[in-house]
Amino acid sequence: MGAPVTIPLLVNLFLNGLVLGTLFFLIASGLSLIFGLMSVLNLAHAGLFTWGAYVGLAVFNATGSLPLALVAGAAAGAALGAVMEVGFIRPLYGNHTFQILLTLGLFLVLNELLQLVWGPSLISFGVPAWARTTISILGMPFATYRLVVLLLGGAVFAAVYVILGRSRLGIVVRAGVGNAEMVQALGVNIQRVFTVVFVLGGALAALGGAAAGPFFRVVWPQMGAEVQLAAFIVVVIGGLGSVTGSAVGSLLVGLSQAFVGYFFPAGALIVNVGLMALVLLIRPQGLFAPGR
Amino acid sequence: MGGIGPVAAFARLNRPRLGGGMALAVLALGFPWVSPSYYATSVVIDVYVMALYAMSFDLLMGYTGLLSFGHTLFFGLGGYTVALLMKRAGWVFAAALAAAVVVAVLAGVAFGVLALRVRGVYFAMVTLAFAELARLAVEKLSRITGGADGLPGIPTPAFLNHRLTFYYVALAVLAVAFWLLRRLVNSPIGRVLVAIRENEARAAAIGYNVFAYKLIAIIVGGTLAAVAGILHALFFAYVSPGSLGIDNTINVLLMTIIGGAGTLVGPILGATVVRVMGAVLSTHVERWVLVFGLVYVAIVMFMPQGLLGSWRVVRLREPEGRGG
Repeated sequence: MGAPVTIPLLVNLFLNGLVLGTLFFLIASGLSLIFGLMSVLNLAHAGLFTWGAYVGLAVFNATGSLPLALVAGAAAGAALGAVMEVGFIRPLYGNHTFQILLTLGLFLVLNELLQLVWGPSLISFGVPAWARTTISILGMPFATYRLVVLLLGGAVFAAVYVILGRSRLGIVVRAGVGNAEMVQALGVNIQRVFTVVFVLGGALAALGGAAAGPFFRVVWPQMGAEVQLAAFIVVVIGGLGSVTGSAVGSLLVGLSQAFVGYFFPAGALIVNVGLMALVLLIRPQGLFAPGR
Repeated sequence: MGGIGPVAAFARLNRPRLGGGMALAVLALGFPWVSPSYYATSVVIDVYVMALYAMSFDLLMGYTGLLSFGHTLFFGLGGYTVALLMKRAGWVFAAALAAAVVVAVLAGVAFGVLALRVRGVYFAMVTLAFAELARLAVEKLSRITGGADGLPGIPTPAFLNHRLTFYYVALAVLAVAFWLLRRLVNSPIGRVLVAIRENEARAAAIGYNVFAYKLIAIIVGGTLAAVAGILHALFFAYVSPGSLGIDNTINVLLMTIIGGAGTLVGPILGATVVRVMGAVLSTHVERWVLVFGLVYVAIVMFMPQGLLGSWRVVRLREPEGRGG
């Protein structure tokens, strides 16, 4: 705490908070949509995040291309999401408790399989030279890669927003969040929409993992579980089922983590959990919950 | 039971079940004397402690329908309270034990009052957050708690240092807890808890104070989980933040679901299966947790009532006249 609080420092903390928020958003948006549409709290979502990171690393080591690693990570997440929805979640629709218990088991299995393939220890993620450079923002160094994550997150948010707001799929998903049975009664195959949302959510979480690898410079088996707590906080604050809520919640949690983490390192997560408890007690459905 | 004499009462008892129970009791009481190794006795002690923890969890999940992902908070709280009071404050064991139970009851009240404001999935998430908060607090307050490394060297009282004594203490605590919980779930209170699980709105409509009954379940379950945590800490003379972590919640879920939720014998059976198989598998297979994950997923999907529940269903399907 010796360093004086200057404008450049605050700007830097702000940008770092945005980057963290972006990672949280990638995992929280899928979590939130899946819950909003199917009432499934997917505890295995964090497993997809971790798998995205490891597949991304494997592809990056094989090809040396970071964009390719991101795409491969997202593709792995999409495939795992499809398997999970069709093979495991679908037989249990209508039984929320057992779905939660099932996703917890899937999380365990995903995590163990991952360690079976890559082992339980940390693996360093060697980023390419361009990603190791920094740029200067108001005289403070800022890693180029973080800027890439920021742009990526912005693009994903814009894409999800446009898909939900402007496409036919988006209309069906939003209607499904409101009342899935009614949508089905109107002649939409809601089952297929469930699968699509699960695949999309899985891809986003795994993309988040693949993007997080070079950000942390290492991957480890518990990385998803560690981000998942923040993602839970995000969706509770934002409201389960709302993508806008996820975005706002992610930024709030990311920023508070960056600022509180800098000034009171011990308090970062505690402040966020406290924030979540406060929202739950005052407005349990979250700040941006779809109208009920 | 007022009108019948002892002979008639005995005749009414279910003979095969009584025989099974007595055989189990003899087995449990005699096991240390025929135990193949010191290690095997330790595994069985661990089974008793985890069975107590799983039973306390099942009071919430199986009987009341409260899916708490923060039950490990009480397990860890019990262990840490006793460890800190004995090691840091120099309290004697009996005082630390009493204080830990009081702390657990108070924590149950606070936990319940806050978390019961929300339902279903939100309750699961809030309780998870509480437990994580406790784990983080323990890890950050490392000057007192030892942080991520845990707190070794708890001065376990001398009479518990002997493994044989510990075995019988753990068995006795489990038996007393089983008896207490059995009384509770078969009492009018227990019936209301099941009614809440089956249909909360209807239970409330009949006039039961649903909040108060759920709070009772949380306090009783939490206190018993704390006792399990205390035994665990004393047995290993060590507490770690892992006792507050999500893995320990997954453990208790595994045991309860595998054994059979909504019964008291199910969690004991589950704890036995998970711990004994774990002890056997871990010496042969490196990632044995994967096996459990797969078994767990299969049970959730295909045998939602667990081993005990499925066995009961099979027995009910047997044609009349056989067995009796």
